[in-house]
Amino acid sequence: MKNQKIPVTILTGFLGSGKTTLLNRILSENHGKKIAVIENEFGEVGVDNELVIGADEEIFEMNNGCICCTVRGDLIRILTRLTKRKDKLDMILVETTGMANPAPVAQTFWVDNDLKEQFSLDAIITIVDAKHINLHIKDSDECKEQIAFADIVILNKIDLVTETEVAQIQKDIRSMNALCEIHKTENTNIDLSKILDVNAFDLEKKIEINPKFGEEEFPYEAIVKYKLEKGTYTLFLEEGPDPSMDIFVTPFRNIETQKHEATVAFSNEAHSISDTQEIKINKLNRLDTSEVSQSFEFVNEEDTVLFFTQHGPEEFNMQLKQDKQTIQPIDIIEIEHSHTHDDEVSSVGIESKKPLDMQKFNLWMGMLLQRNGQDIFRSKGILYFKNYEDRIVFQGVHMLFDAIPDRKWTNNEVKRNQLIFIGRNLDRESIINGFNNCLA
Amino acid sequence: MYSEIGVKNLIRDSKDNCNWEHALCGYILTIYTIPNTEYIWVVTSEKNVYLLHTENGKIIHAFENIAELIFTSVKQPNTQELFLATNNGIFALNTEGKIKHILKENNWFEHLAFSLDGKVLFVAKGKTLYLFEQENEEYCLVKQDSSFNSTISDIIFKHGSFLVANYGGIREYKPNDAYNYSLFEWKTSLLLTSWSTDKKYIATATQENAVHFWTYPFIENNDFQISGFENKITKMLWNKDASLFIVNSGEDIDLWDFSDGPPTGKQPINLRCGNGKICDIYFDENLLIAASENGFIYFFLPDESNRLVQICAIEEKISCIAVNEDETELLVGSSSGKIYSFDIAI
Repeated sequence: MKNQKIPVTILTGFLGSGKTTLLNRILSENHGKKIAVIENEFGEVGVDNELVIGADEEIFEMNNGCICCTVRGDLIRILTRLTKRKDKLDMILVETTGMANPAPVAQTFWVDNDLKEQFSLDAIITIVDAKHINLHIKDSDECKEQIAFADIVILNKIDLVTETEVAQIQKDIRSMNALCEIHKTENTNIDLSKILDVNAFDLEKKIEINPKFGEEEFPYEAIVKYKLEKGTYTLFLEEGPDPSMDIFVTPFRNIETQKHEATVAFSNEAHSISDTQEIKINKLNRLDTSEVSQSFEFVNEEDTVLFFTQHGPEEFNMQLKQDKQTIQPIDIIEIEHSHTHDDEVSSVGIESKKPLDMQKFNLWMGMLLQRNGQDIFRSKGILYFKNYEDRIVFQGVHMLFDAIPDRKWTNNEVKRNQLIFIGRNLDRESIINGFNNCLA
Repeated sequence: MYSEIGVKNLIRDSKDNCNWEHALCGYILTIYTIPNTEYIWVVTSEKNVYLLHTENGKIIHAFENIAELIFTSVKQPNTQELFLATNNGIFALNTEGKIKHILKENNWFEHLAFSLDGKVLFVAKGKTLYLFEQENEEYCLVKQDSSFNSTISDIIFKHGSFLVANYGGIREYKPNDAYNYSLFEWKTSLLLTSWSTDKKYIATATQENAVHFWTYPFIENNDFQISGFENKITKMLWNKDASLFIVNSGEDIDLWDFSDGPPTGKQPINLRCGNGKICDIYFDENLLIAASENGFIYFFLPDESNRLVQICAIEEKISCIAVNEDETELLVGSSSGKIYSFDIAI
């Protein structure tokens, strides 16, 4: 008499993005599944074999007004009602209003134990209107949050924009949400098997889809490598797009290791350096570029040095000179930088093969979510704890989270931790350091 | 916890004690015995209601395709007619097999309750409360109140008042004055409502697996809460003198001692059942019956220190139970539409 949980798909997206078109397709397509659709308008009608229920979104604060635990009261009521049926439904689709914050919908499944027993959150799908996304993304927190919350993004109306624009939007979406699947569509024309009953919360599957999971995003745009003699040099910069440019100069050893060190340096406080002042080695220097041109002294004691520059050196026409002779760099490495639109909402991925100490991790995670839960929209991961045979699957929405044993690690798989945080103004360095402190 | 063989044996033995069983169409929501008759009402959550003969389970009347969804039902206190709140308005069914559409509207009507004399009927649709009054055996709509800011979650009638719950509080209305109400406020999602038999406490089950209480009449800052239940409370019962408050809590039944007022600092008497969450409870001073979702039924004797005296089981998920007036017959409804009748021989 065991229950098979009914998958629930949540559909978000701004007005006009194509939600209704997709819903109508789902309802009219011959997929042989009995689906209940919970729409955001009141009044329900039966459509053949389907049940369409109108809902008036009611967002309730729990615990006498605790704003961090908002849930959708109407959803609880309707889903509870749908459990009282002789024939079980195959799936449930919840449509939210265009401006809806997806958090209360998702939190409903964390907060309500009775619903958790009967339903499983299959996926949060966000439909993005490729033609108008740039308008929304600038003005609307809800739009960013809808993308940040998504397991699947349907990038719709791609026929109305150029291929270059589509590529840019994809990049922007990816910069906010490193783990979501992105499907490009015209008129929301998509194979339904790609979006319904897909178990999008299966993190392992998602990591395979996005091989860049856990990759670090760098706070600088270029690494300029110089082979130099010992002596004094002058770094010339012209006026650029910003009134200052951060620069980190360090002796060359191993570029891959030093990329990470530079990331750490960029998270530290920068030393402000004005025209003619000296650049400090192994420190973050904030060079004043407010004049038409300026120069900075650099005393070199090394053989080869790396200049990690916040912006591309060409944007400031950066030149290193000694005795009026321009020194040509031996290499310029451009760092792919996807934060074109919005670096407010982003993802932090962590991957480590070292086991975690459960007690330390629980303490850290509890504190992190308590302190920054409002800004961490979603967190999820697979955890590898010392002295535990099972993999632990971790899922969270804002401050609410669940960590449950999944299955035993198999002999031929690499035990590892994989975690991702998606949210606003995430402090990558602090999160990574916090995690590293939990390693056993 | 029973072994697989133990469960099979229990089901087999229980079958031997079963008077009759009948397969109906739909998830059985509620069973009502009808005093002084040989009939029972069986309400399903989808489309159908049945009037059965209590002796053999034979269908007297099948009321089919009434509405896609049936939410709640209540008996008219005088006539024993059954009133249904559905997604297509309010219906009244009588034992003659007649259906009357009291209010026709394609919307979710989820709750309804009668005053004790049956002359006033409160009905809830979303955030709107409807008040009907009986005139010449017809119910006429006299007031519609849309002042609720969230969906109404329960209506009961007790101690001469209607209690109407929604997010944020409970309103108390007198049946002769639907324009004024007293508010018992608590800012959370309130679900099921109950009023103690001695009228001293109004209790409401909340979304957070707790029960919130107000003392009656209302005294500011005198409300209190019992929390930490394993699931949302779906059954709240009181004994005759309100010294005991009985609720389902996960796989158990909790009996809270209210004999000296609120049970602050006390532990409940915990009747451990096991084998699935308790979905329904019948309580009288002499008999306590609890049914678990997984098909188990437990019989306790409250006047013998709540001694567990019998367990029986069916091969179905139980959705509700009912006991006839003289406590000789137990009726068990299942989520797949089967109804069973057992003799109570304790």
